[in-house]
Amino acid sequence: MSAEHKEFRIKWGMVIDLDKCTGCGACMVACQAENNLAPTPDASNKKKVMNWLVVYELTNGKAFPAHEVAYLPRPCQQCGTQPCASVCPVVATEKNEEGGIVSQIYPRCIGCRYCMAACPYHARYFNWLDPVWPEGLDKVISPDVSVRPRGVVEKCSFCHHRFMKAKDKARVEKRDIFELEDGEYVTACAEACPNGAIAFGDLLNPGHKVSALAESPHAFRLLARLGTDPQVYYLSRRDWVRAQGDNRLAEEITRG
Amino acid sequence: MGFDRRAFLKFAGGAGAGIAVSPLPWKLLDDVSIWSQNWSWIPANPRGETTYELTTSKLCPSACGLKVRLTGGMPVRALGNPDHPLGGGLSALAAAEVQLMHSPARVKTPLRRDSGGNFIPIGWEEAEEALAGGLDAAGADIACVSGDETGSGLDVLSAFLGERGSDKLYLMPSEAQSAARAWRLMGGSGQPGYDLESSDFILAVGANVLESWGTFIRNRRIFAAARPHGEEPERGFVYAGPVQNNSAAVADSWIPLKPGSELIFILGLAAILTQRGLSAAAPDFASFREMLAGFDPQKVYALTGVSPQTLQNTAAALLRADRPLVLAGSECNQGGGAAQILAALALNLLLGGRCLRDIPLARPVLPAAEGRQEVQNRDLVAYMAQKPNPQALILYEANPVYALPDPESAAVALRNTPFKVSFSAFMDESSALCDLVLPMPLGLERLDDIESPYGCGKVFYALSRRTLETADTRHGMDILLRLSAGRGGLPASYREVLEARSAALGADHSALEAGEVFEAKAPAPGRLMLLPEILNRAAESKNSVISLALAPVQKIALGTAQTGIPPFNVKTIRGNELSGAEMSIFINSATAYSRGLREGDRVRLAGKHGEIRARVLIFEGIVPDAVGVPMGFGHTALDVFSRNKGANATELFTATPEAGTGFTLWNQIDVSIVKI
Amino acid sequence: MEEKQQKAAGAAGLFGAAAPFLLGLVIALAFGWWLFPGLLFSEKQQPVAFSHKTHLEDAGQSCADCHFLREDGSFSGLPPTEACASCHSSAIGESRAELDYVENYVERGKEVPWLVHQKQPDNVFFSHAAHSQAFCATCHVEFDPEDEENKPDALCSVCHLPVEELDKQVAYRENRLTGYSKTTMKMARCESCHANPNHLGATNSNNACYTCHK
Repeated sequence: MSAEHKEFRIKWGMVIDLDKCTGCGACMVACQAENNLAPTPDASNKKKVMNWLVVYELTNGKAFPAHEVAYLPRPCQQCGTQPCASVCPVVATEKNEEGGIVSQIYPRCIGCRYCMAACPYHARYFNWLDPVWPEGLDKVISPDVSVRPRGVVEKCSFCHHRFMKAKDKARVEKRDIFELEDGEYVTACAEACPNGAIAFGDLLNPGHKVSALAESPHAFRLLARLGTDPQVYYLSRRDWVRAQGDNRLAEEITRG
Repeated sequence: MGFDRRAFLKFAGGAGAGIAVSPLPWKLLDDVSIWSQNWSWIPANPRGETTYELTTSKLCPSACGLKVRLTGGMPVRALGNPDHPLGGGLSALAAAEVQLMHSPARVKTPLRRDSGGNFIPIGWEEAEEALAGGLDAAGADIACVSGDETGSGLDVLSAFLGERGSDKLYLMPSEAQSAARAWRLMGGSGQPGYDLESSDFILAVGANVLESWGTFIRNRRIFAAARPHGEEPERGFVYAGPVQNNSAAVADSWIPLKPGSELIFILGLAAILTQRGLSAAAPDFASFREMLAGFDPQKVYALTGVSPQTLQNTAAALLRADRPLVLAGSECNQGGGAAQILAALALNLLLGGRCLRDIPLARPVLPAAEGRQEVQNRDLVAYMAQKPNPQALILYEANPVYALPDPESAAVALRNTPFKVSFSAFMDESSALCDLVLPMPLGLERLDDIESPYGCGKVFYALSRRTLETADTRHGMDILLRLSAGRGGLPASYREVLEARSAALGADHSALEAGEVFEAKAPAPGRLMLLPEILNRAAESKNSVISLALAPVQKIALGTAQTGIPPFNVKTIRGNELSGAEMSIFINSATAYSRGLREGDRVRLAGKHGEIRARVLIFEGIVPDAVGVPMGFGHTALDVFSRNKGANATELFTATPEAGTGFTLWNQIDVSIVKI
Repeated sequence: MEEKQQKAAGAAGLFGAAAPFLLGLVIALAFGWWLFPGLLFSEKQQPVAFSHKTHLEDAGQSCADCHFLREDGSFSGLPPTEACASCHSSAIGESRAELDYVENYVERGKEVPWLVHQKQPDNVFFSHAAHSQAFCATCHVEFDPEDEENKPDALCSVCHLPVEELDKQVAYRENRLTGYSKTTMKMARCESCHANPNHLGATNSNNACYTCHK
């Protein structure tokens, strides 16, 4: 079954400037607090640690002093053709709503993890255990995102609840909910980043700066040649960083 | 015919058919599936109106602005505040600030050590009595260490000690002190201020300006503004230091420097610039220029590892810029000494010094309190080295047993003190050794102030405010003021001190309490001295041969010495940085090869006093013959999120007096590495 | 003995060999349709005896005094004790319920743990702002607030109990298995509009999962 490609009036997208990311981790902390990911005392087993957003370290692989380092935050790529949604046997994940955010409905998920196997970005996580907040820390659960029990898959939602709230605000102000101003709806990570590395907005709205940024000559998408058509773009003026966007073989001839 | 088998089967068949066409199975099936989605142990979302309160972070050293989101009156998120002069985004620590209020490491009630050596929870009345008793017994032989260097709490501590006849008030070592000392040696009045906003080229030497140096959230916002997405940067940014750290990752270029050679690098640049005819209007400029003649590019290369070409290019970049700014500091925000900051300030003066400011220090609002200068001039590390053993020791939000160089001797000093009390929000290593632990409210739980944190470019004053009524904490300053009972002209509450401070600055206190910020322009510095003799002596002491130099690296995600690793920040630690209880130290492949080490090898790193164990990680972003050690691991107290994770880098630190300035420093540390 | 056999034969004669089957069927149907729903739900009383009628008619309040859309687009839901205390700072009248309320909640500054008939679980995001009467009335005349015959809050009663006419509270019936209120709206009900093809063009009532789930 091949995933169908849906077109929307609005398409929420992220443009992450890797030349501005220092890898400090503020976005990851903000994401966990915003989306009610439980803390864990030991996070060394990265296969079992729940993280909707991960900051990866990239290296140009050269020895000192030619070495360069860059950091790459990886949220869910909100693919246009979703490898995940096409394999879900219970339609717990789909891309159907204006904005093009790939949904994940926890009560519907049966935890089969096909979607995790299908996702080329490792953006999906399985709740191996029930989330545990140390005593008292459960008081700071945020009101907007439901808490997931064990046995379901979860992933970054582009802070979809913030979209809902921005729409509601537009509704009471009697504005068009599909013509939100640039910056009216941003994700928690974009908001937290002091370096402004993460730009967020409607890729189809010329009034939103991401629409122009996605067209930048420095822009690239992760594993673009898989044809997943992600809504997350990356920018880098560094050739070696852009080259790592696709997992090319060493002997492959590449441009740029 | 009775109710035989056949009749029973018929009955069962009828019952089955009846049940099937009743709602029972279908309703039950639906309900069971819902039941399986709502377990009682999964926390529920809070409900209630969303409100926001503006404040300034007292917890994060960047003093960034916060917009605290409350749901039904309960703080749930710390958000950035772009309108705050030091805000606009969050540090990884500030992002977790609301969650830290409920951290398992919090001290929940006053604790007193019983005769068996265990902590027992006590009431506040008993706690305050024990405090009064312990301090009264010590007479004038009381010392105090404060981890808060921006608050009026320093005035209260100073007045409180002064009234008892002691002047032993110390600050935990920090870059701010080194800078303020250097500044006053040069003839500046307050502390150096940096107008980053107007500078068009920043050269950071050792100062991890985008992660931990100064008002780093403001620094990062300025950096962001200067670099529109995907475009050529409007302002230059170059980082020089031993490790390709967070700042280096996004700098235009990284200039690798041998650890501790920042001073030489700066003097090398100054030498080139004076040769190009640059001068400063300083009375001792002539001798400064003469002294610089000794720092030719070849010598600088030998000491720093920076090639003459790179040095020339950097000098040229500084010359090209209209308003360049050179910021010097230490990678881990401590121990870098005063001389390298002095040299950087002198270099700025050569370049015109247009981005330098002289920020006046807070004048004490309590008559009995001494000036900030006196407090900043005292050297805690030197004091501890004397093994003073006061009768009583007050720790105010300070964790010397974790954060001072050679923490073991700090622990011994604490054990030898007959009465020690810790005012702390968290059960840290130092509190764990005290006789009395008094829980402090956190920044979001108390009214306190933040004045001109180091690195800012203006006079800055803001209040932290209470967003949550905490049950069982009391502000340490209120306790001390109550204990003084008005003696020495001390007011009855800390709020009065803060009101007096606002009034002294001409700020509207009630507006500050509502989250506003007071700012005033700071003047450009007056005529400053360049102090070539001091610089030369400090530079000469750098000649010592080091086989393997320690390069500590600080990441604010791992918290401060008081907070430890915040629960939500554990996941930001990469898999190659920490695995279980074992952390990684990093060396480049050349260093590894020359020492016969491979990635993953277990090693013992030994300094003069202590040693740590770790695994080897090959990371090419570090100079040869240096070993990078992350700061912030190795906690033995606090909670499960901080404990049993790696080792404490300060175990390897050895403090020595800096030639020329006399202040202690620990930025050239020789360590040995042994495979185990 | 013979009599009994005859009786049995008579019954058997009446229903033939299907008698046990029918007996089972009737018992099962009675259990499934009549007894089971009673067993499934427990009945709970509200913590405070509150009368909408008193507040609307006697105190002259309107629904929107307590239930309104906030400026940020969120719905106020039930008023907090603080709001109630603006009138009930001390007991109004002598009734037991009033005295209990003031003593237990107003004076202690505690929120009332109301049992909400339409409470949705955490994974549902219901937007009151999105379901506006004025908008629905463009097609559904029964919601037209301008129409004299219709109540200004007719749309509310589509999901909520018509509380404005109630003096006594309706018993809250809680599902013993799920903990949900018996009268809460289930997803099928949402879909009756959201999945209605007539709605898709006219409204933004997309039936995508993320339209309602969080």
